[in-house]
Amino acid sequence: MAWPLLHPGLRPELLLAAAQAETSRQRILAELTLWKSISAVLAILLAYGSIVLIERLTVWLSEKVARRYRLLIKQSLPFLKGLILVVTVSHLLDQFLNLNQNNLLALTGTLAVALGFAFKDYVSSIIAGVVSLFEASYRVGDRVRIGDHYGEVVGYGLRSLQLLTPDDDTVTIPHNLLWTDPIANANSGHLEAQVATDVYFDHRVDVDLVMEILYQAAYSSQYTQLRLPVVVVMTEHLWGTQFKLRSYPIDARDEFTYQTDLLRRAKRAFAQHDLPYPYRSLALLQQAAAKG
Amino acid sequence: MALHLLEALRDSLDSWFEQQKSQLAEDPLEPLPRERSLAVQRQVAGLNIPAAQLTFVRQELEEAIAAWRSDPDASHVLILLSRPVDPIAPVIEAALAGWTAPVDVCHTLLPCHHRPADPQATALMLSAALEEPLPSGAGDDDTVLLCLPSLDQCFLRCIKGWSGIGHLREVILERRDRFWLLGCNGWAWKFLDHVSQINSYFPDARTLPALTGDDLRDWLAPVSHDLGLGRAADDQPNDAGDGEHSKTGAGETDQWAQLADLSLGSFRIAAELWLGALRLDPDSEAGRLQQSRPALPTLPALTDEDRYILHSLLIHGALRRDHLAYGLGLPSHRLQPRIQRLLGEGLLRQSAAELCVQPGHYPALVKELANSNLFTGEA
Repeated sequence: MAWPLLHPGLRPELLLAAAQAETSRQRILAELTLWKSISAVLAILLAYGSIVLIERLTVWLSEKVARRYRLLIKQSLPFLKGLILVVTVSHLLDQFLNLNQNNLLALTGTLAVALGFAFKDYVSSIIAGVVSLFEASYRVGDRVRIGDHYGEVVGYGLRSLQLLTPDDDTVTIPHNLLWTDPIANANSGHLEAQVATDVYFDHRVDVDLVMEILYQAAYSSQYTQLRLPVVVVMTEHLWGTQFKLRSYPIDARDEFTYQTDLLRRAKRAFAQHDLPYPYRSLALLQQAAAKG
Repeated sequence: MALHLLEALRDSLDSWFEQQKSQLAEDPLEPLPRERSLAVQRQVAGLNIPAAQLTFVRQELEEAIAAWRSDPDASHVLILLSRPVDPIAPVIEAALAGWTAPVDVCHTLLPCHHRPADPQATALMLSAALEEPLPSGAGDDDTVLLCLPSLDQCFLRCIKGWSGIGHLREVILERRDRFWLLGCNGWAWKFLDHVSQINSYFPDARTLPALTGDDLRDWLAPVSHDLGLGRAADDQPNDAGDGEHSKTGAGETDQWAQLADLSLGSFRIAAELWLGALRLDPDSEAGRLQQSRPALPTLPALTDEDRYILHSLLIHGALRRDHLAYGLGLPSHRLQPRIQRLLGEGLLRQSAAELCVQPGHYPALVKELANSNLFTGEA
């Protein structure tokens, strides 16, 4: 190899070492050793074990503690899982990549192209999950409606959330629906969620009596949260009058038991007063008119 | 919220450590045999109402009546509240019994403190009592004190269950020429305020004062004297000198103060805790008793259904089983096993066909129900 004219103080072997060092800094992947591989496997196993442990521990603890602390403990789950993931991924990146400015640019560019084509939805779900964590559109323990599904959020993963429906089905919904679908949250981190109970009567009904019975049904139910308002509203239809009782159970989980209790109490009192129910034929007529 | 959680965790750990400590400590004393415990219980039940509470009721009543007589705009109602495990009616009745009231006529409405068998008849019972004529001999110009010692018996948490309270409110507001004394359980009052805003009409309800350690010592003095508890300390060998004696005295005062603290100043709770703290000295031939440090009993694990039952009993003070089932809207066959379990665990007791909460469990139960998002009658 012919060396160009050099400064008399610079020796060729030093220049060679410097050039090699420069090349290794420019390489994205760091040198792979057996120890690094073992350490990475251990880190992944540890992270997986910690996530499983934290999931089980939070679920167990949240069901053991007093009701008012249940949601607080459940809501900490995604943050703890996120923290473990961030620490593990940072450790792995540090072990296997040379993250200088140039490498980082090259890496993100490559990743952007790869993910843009192959894992677009997956990455979109992960980003939506992180956004939702801070936007708090839904949290673990909340009762939400997403699309056609309604239930309690029982799991919050990297890509999706799990809903437990009233029929005891677990529905997995990707986080990226957050970008497009409306999400109705009934309790937003609180124990109570409003329950609307409808009853229907003929136009001739004594509305004051019906409203009084509905108020008393709510106040007399042991499930009602008396610190929150109880309201009865009315709507007129062609076939009759609709009354809607809006009240809050002490625990949103009791929603359906509560509604049943309200209806049972109210209907028992309605029967004592022999209140007139609407004509079914008129209701069908209105439905047909609406469809037509 | 997080702070509350930490406090709750700390409380649980404290109570757990206390229990472990007491189990580890070698206690040379033995608990009282059942027969002897029942005998002491009967003695305590026969005690008069603590003097501090009688004085409070009489003083409040005198001041309120004097104000009503001198100022036409002053309130003509005095409402006294107590804890559900401390029924107010016996306190009011005892206060009125041995006292010359500053009124011409003193008449008690509904002196029998039980609800009618038919829950729907509760309102009728109250209306009938309100229409009762005054005792013969009362003139039109006489000042009249009308006393309803237990408002708890006048409602049930069911549809139309508190309609009588509305009627009572109207009568009281109409009849300013009479002075009204009402006694009520604090939880019931809070419930009635939620459902009919009763506090807006009668905002000056007074709560019975909490008893101090000295009050409790004086109240229990006849029984503890009979049991030789005071003498036990006096008979200690005197070779330890005055310092040791004063230490024993300070320890005893500390125990009474602790009893007052644990019992929230309630004499019924205190009586139960005090009974639980009595120990038998096995070395003494005469079966001498000693008073150890009082402690709250451990609350057993509760289900949601248990909490609703206990909450309902605390609101109503005491309830028949069929009334409890009616109010909770549960069929009796579903409720009975839960009640039997709670009776077995010692959380409930039954007297005169009515269920009520065992006073010793009350302090822990208040915390448990508040943590379960249910309202309580405590501040």
